[in-house]
Amino acid sequence: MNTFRKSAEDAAGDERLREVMRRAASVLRGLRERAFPDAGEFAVLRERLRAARLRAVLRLPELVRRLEETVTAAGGVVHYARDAAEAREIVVGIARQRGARLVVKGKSMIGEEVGLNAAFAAAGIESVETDLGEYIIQLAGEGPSHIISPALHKSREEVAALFSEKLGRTAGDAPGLAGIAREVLREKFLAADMGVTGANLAVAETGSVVLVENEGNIRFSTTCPAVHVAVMSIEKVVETLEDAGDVLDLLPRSATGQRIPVYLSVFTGPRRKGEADGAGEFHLVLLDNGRSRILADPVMREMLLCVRCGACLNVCPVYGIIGGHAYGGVYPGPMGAILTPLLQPSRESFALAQACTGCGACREVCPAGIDHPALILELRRRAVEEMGLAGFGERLAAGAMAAAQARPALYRAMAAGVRTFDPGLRLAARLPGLAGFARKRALPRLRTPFWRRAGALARELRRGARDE
Amino acid sequence: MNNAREDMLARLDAALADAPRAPARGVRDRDAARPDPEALVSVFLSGLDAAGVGHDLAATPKEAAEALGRFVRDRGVGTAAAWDNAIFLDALGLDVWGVLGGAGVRVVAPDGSRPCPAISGADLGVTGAFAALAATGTVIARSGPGMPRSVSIVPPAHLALVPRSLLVPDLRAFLHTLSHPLPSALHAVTGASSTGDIEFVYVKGAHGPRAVHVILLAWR
Repeated sequence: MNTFRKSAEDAAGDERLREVMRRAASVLRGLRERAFPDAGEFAVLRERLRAARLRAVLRLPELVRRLEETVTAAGGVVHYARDAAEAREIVVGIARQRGARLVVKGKSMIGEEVGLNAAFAAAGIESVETDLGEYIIQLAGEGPSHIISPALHKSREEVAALFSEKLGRTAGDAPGLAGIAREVLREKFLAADMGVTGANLAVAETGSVVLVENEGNIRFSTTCPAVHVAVMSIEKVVETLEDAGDVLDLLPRSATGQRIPVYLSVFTGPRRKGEADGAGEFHLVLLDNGRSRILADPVMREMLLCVRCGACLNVCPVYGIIGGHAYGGVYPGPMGAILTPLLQPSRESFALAQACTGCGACREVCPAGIDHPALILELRRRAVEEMGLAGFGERLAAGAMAAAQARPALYRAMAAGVRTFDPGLRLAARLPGLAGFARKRALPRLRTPFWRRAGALARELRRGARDE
Repeated sequence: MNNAREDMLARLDAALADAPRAPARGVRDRDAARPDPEALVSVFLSGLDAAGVGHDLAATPKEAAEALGRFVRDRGVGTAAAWDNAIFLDALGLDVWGVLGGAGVRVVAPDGSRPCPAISGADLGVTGAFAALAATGTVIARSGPGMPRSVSIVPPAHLALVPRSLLVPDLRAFLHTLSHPLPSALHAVTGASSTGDIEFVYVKGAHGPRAVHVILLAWR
């Protein structure tokens, strides 16, 4: 059995995790649904976002060169990192040169992808995650389980116990725990020598980096320390402010259901003459780490349109059952099942292509219009035809179904997920791995959509787990 | 390092050799709906309500000064961080430091190589605005001499004085008004800092202000 199947089965058998995931997915889906009362409006905005991203991705060499010019003209420094090791060297190198002892970090998936915290630790530099969710998983020594809400798998009680163990103080509720983090991290912000953030996007025409957040930790990390380093994967550039607007119209709504986040910041170079605060040095690290290879792939290029909103995770029936950690990489859910094998092609990573029922819910909500099931289907084809993993599709589906059927309630939950978006199983029947399952199995008939059955399903899952 | 640059750009160039053309930029009817200023004010006030931002509508400089004085007295503000008074006098025609001083408030400003600790004891940050977005109740501050970024993020409360003439409908309209070069930082602020990272429980007051208040200057 491959690692992914093992961890997926373990996760699916973890009753507590399933309950947490069920709640999380339903909250996040609800937030997003309320943000798009008008499906027609979403369709229009999605067309615009997709066009803005296509204009960027299909002209990436030109836009990256332009971005380098404009960032440099604004007084910033652009660094190029071919891979994770180069990115770590660059960022730690800047910290060393400035004699930085304490680094405050904003949540960054690129920071996770290249392993910045471990690199800082190896260099004897303290780096502190300052987004509350990211701070919690840093204290716990874990990776993120969701690209927007990294500690989504942790209950309040677990966070309380963690704070008690690591910080020597705790509280019984979320506001109390957040208050403790505020106090502890405030000290760090005021004393930090350098701030490291990701970038939600960069604007080639102005040389700006745009960051969205609710907590204010990114604002602190860029305002108080003397140096700001933003790490960004190379495809996240857009051409103009108008294109940035097209992305920003949908990114927060798709991620958290917010029309606009609490803080939307646009940084253009370092602090200027006469200004009292803000980092006096601005560095932008552009990371390739496999993106140029994806760009050269006419089918998979599509994945570079992704804006990292996390909406596909929240609707994915597989993610909703196994959670983020089972995916084994930094990126979970449908986007991760595609991105991870593309970034690090291997027998193990290609196994993630089995983390899909073909229901198509991800494609429905994707603000960039990415057709995840089609890309996963293509990955399965390549696994079989190009990587020589014979019988990949059938075996995967059989494995997933066997795992599910060992737990009847779980099987019904998966079926319900598929049924919600593909009532006739037309789509599932077209997927090689699932064709068998769609043809051979009579899935339970469900008239009510998955989300309306969530409560009943959870009870059923709990009963099912006890039955086992 | 330079090798990395040449290498990456060469790979990107090669990657797109067979690529289709990027979609053309559509022409947008940008000025179609010029909203009337009165409507914009009422949309903004509802936007502030939705964002949980308290507000006063001041018809005259005197009313604005009274609203500011009332706010600091009600909150028991002892120390406030603020933008330079020259900015307030110039952009708003208000002697903000004078009003604060008159209410017994000590005014501090960020300073030195570690600017934030200088204002970390302040009870309030007072800023002007660069623009405001009606639809979302958003105040946009820009960086610049006399307009420190820390004033709107470090203290536990943020009060923004917003001239009515700075209202635009939404983010898209605002981005369209920008001209190069951009300021070193633009911060769009919509309500108090918050987090939902523990079990999705909304907590008001994460790292930044727990409260945001706007005084809309109707005569400016």
